[in-house]
Amino acid sequence: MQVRRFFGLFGGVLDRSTVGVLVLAVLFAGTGAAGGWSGAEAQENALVSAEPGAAVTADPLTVTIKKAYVADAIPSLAPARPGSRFVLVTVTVEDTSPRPVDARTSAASFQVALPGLRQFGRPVSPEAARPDVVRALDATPLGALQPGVVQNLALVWEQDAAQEVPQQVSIVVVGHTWRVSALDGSRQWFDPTPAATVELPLAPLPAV
Amino acid sequence: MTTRQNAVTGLVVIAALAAGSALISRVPGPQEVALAPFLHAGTVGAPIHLRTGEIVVDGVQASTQVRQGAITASTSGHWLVVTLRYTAADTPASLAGMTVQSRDGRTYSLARPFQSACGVGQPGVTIACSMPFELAPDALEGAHLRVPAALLGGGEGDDIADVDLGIDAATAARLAVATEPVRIEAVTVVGAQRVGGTP
Repeated sequence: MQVRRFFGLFGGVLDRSTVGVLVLAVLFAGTGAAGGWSGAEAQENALVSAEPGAAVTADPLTVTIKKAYVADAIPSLAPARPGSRFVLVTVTVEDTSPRPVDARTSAASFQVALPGLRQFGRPVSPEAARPDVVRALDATPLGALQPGVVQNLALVWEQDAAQEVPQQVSIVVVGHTWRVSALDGSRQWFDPTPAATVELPLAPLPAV
Repeated sequence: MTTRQNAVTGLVVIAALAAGSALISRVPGPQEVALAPFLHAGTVGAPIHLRTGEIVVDGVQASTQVRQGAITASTSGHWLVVTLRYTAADTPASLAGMTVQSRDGRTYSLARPFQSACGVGQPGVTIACSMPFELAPDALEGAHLRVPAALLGGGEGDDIADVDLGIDAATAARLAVATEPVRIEAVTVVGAQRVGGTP
């Protein structure tokens, strides 16, 4: 009754169709203000579970997680550090986009679910821990992933040695989107989105 | 106004909005126009004048390995090494943000450990340097070198040299089988000349 009385005040200028258009406009504006359909999209972006050795897509990368090793030191990659151990994961990666993926974004494309991760001597969360990314071909640090160039890489995370060594590790592959920055107009890889997870056994690093 | 007239008016407005939207989507926006680069097309051996200086591409080599000092880098694709000369115009300037574009539009960047191989050029002093790009096997044929006048903005709304590297199918096939490691020479001063920047 109150609604009808309210609209009655504008009876001279508002007919039913105009009110209908206004209601629709308010509905669309409200949906947009509440984040549009992103919630529905998020529901569709459920994490894919993949087997070791199977290729997974996390745009712009196609990734095959192969093996995981643990060691107190890794020759030529990670010298022994008191109180730390290292987890090494071997992967094959291809950039399927038409542009390079820089080293920072490449490292941010991988997460490992382990307690006690460390970086630059400090504890970090699994989401924030960036692995050292090294090219298997020549043991040089990865500079960038170039379009269509397949790279075998070693990902190295540092873990607090006081933590127990798990039997398995879970690797999360994170996708990114190439877009214009709303802050400075530059084009970069943004919007990290976990796309796939791979569970694989953690074995001691074989002696060379 | 009758209900039918209202409906027709509504349909006309919606059709006009749809037509306008379709038209606008096909016309470049003001920002797109402002950011479009000024491309200076060229070929190997021909000088190209940019706002900040002049470049001449002398040639290309390819291999599966490149060396610079103690560093040797391999690839599952190809290293395409572009040798060029650069003479800064009026102020010290560096060749940064160079890319190679494949025929199908893929972009390849310089990356560690070789990304700063050309250093800073002083006005009027010609320097020579070699720039290694890691390319996919099918990206050699028809590749172009793109050199922005300045790093900031990556050439948007600015001069960009677009050099056809002259890699036809036969040259690409020859480069694709090269495995002899290519040495990345340090930057060398090769001469001096007066180069006026474009206004």
